[in-house]
Amino acid sequence: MRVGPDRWPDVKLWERVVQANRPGPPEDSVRFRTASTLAVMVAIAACWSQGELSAPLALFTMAATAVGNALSYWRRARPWMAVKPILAFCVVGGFLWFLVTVTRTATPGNIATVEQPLAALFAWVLSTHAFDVPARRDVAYSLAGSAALMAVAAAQTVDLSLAPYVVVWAACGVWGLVAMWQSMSGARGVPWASLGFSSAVVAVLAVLFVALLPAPHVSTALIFPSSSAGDSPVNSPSNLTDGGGASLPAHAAAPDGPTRVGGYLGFAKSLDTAVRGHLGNQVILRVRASKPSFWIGQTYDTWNGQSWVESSHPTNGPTLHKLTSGSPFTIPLSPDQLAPLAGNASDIQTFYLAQSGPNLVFHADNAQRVYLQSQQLFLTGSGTIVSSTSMGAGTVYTVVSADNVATPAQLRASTTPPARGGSTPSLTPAQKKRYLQLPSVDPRVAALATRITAGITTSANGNPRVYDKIAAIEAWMSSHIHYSTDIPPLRPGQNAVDSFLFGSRIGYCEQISTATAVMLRSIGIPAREAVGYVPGSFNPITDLYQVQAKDAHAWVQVWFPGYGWQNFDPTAQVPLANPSPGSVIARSTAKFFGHLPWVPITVVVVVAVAAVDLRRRYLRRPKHWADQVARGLERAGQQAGLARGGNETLARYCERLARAAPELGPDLHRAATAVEGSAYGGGQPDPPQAEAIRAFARQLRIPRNGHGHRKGRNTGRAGTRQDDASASANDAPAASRGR
Amino acid sequence: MSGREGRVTPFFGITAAVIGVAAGTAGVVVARAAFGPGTAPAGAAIGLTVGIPVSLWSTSARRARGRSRRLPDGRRMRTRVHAIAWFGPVAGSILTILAWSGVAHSSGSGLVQAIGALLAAVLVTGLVAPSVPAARATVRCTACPSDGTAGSPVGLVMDAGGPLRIRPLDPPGPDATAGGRVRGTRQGTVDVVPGTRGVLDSVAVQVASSAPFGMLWWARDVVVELPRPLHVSPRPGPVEPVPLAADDELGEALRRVPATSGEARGIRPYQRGDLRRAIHWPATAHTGTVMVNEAEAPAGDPVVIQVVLPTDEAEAELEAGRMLSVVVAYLDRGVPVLLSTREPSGPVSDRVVDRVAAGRRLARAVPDAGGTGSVA
Repeated sequence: MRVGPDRWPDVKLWERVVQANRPGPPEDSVRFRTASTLAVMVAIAACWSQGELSAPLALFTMAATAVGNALSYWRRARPWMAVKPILAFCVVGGFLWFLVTVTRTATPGNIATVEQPLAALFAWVLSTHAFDVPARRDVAYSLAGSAALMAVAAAQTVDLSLAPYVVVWAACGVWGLVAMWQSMSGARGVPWASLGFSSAVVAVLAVLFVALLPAPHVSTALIFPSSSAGDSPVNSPSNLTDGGGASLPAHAAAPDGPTRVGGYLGFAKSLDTAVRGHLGNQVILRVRASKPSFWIGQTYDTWNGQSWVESSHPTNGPTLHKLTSGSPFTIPLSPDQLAPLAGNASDIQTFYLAQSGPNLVFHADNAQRVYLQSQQLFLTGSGTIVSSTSMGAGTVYTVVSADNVATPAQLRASTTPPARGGSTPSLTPAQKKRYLQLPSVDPRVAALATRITAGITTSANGNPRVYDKIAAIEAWMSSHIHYSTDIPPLRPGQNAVDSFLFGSRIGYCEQISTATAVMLRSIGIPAREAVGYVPGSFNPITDLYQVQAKDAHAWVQVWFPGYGWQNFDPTAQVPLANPSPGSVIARSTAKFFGHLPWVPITVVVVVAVAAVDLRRRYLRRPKHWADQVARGLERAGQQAGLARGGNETLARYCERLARAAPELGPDLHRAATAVEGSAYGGGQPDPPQAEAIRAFARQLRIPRNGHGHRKGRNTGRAGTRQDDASASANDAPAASRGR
Repeated sequence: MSGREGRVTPFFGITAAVIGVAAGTAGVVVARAAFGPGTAPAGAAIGLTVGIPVSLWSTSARRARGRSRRLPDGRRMRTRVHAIAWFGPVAGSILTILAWSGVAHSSGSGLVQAIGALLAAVLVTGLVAPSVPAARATVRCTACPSDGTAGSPVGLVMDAGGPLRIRPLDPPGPDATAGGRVRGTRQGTVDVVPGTRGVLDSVAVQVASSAPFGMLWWARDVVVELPRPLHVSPRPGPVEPVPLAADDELGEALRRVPATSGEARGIRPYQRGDLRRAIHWPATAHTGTVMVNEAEAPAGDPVVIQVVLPTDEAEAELEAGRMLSVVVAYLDRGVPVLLSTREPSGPVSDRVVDRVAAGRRLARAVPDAGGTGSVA
């Protein structure tokens, strides 16, 4: 194939390819090489810090990178041709090692088993490449290769511990790029202004990209992450355990025992609403999810007046399913659970445990599959998922749920029987009895619930208007209940709901949700208590929900015909919003700017601008008396609307001013003559004359009507005529224009 | 330039609209494929926002190019700032961003995406930012020689307003770099190699910048006025035997130096062939070097060379070079030469005293349509 002879030399395409790949001239810039080397070493260190490279390998590759670059610089003009086959052998060997390692050790569904060999391969290739980087393009390839290594390091990072490495790496990268430009253009020094402007543009663009691009979501089941950090078996699979003491399956929520879950006492076989641990700010888990949800740990169906317990009701079928299929586990439908709505999207959540926790598998509603490195999984009758192994810090698992969340309009239109046909359209009478169970309740509770929902009656089409009743109770809660974690202790045997609703009316999520559930049951609406975590704070950088201990929560689940169990949180009336990185950044930015001390900032900015302007004026002030006179004349003329032209000599300009103010003509002429004489003739007037001319120019006022006057006392003649110093109109008036 | 090249035709507007719509469609397709159907409006907005201005800019750039000066290689000057050799860096950047996006969305890692956003911002800035210094680049020629020869480099001293790469276009020449300190004006020498004879009042150069990251060169073509005209003499043609005088069959005249008689003009160092009686002994004693009297050359018998250049440029160039060789040969023999040429202002006949003067005359010479060939 030949290219057009009119534009390209008459060479074949492959010759052009060969020519394009021919090594360029040796790169002499030490700065560029140093920056590139440091960028690669920082990227290797970043992988090391994230556990993707072992210490010996990281240290070896860093040392090899440094040594290789030094040797490449030394031999840049005379590359060792014999080294190339050795390097090629090393690279091919590294690649073969990667393939063998991945084939032998990679676990399906465990991305970490692939990423670690991948990081090792990248580090190996980069350190090998360091021995053959004679030209500028080769150094640039090294710099670009460090970016790939940073991508590998960042892929498994769930917090901001990588941030220092990113900052240093970015600094090295920018330094390297600037050094490359210096080498290309022969420039000396750093273009601080251009670099500062470019850095500002980079920062703005990066924020825009982060804000505008949708958060990444894993959509390929092959790489759903899961890994185990605590593989101690639990000797009684139906029990819960804290992750630290795997050998002691126990009630993790024992008030006087170590809970290991940030102080929350709800993840146990019962939920005592009278006891609350001290919830801290420590991060319990991080969640990457398609959307924010309540991360359910457990549900309770039986209320005994003070605690919720999970019953083993015979109508619920077998109390415990043992799932032994291995990851991924397929979660069967509970008898009281609806099949996923047709066409609904999957809600994928990946949980990264930051603390040892109970062996509960947190998940969004309607879990379908669980990717967890465990031999067995247990499923209780109410849908609680329990791992057969302890779950220590670092455990990662992924849950795929069916997105069955209905809109308020759908729930409001929900009728009995449901409009949607399904295998389990509604609760059986036995199930309904289970979720309407109440102990001996103060009749005032039912009366209160009835009174709150008095105006909401079943519509003509049979719609019980459950949603409206729930909304009414939530509204009553929000207007009559005060939230506080500091509540008086409950006396033994006292009914928690009675004392809450008809006593202090102060409580926290357990009291509020329990009271709501009890009131709903009292008016015939099936409800149950759920505990878990709220979504937590969303980090727009990591795209992870950061769940802290204080995010432990209890809420109500209500059965809706056709839609199954739906979450209601009477504690927080604010509906959950689906955050995007942009909205989070905008909100955080608005919050940040809203808290700034604007008055001092304004004062400082005004003072700084004034100082800069004063300094600029000081630096640009006319220093020579002739310049001062010229500046004074120009100022006076400009105030009179007679600005000086760009190519107008001072003499011409003064003639124009004199036409506007004839009485000042002689003085203007003398001033112009003296200035031009000083600028071009080398003559200097006597100091008194110079001072008089300067005073004349300083005090000159030419009104717009053309009658000029001098401010202050009359200074007399402005100076003496210097006839031999007039400049021609073609002379450049630089001196007299004020330098 | 023909009148058609700079004219605005409906084709340009249609092209701009089509490109804009195509960009918007591409934005929709990419956004839907990468981020879901909900982002289609954003993709369309981004596509149209980018596509329409780019297409309009491209259209106006083509228009401006149509009005600009034509370069020796046939193309026209591009006075607007434009990227050069952009395919590799742009394609590499796009592939890098796509690969990074693939890693981010396959791993689901927001941190990868955040770092990728930073990388993309650096790449975009690095690719686009050089357009600013390139657009603002100033270059000025502060010194140039008056004479040059076609095919030989001529050094032009230029002041550049920043670290720039200067590539001579018309006449062409090797790249030069105006390096040095980052701020202020820097000076560099740009070698141009005129291909043909002529008088140059200006040169066309391409000023390029890749600041601050060196990822892509942006450039624009500018015309730099020379501080004084540069006369480019033709390449000397083959040395042909010049007609010899009748009394010079033995070739003695070639060794004879002029000025053996006539009005005394002064003294000069001895040259081979000078007569012994011409030695000026007092000056010789004074300077320590043999000095001879010099007299005005005889005014008579000049060689009249009439240069008639053909209309074909290549042939005219060859003919001018041949005539230059003839003139130089006569001058070397000391024969006065009266050169008759046609210049843009009309026929000129004047004596040439040296090679430089002959080169200038031939540089200014234009073809004579009615001529029948050069005559010596």
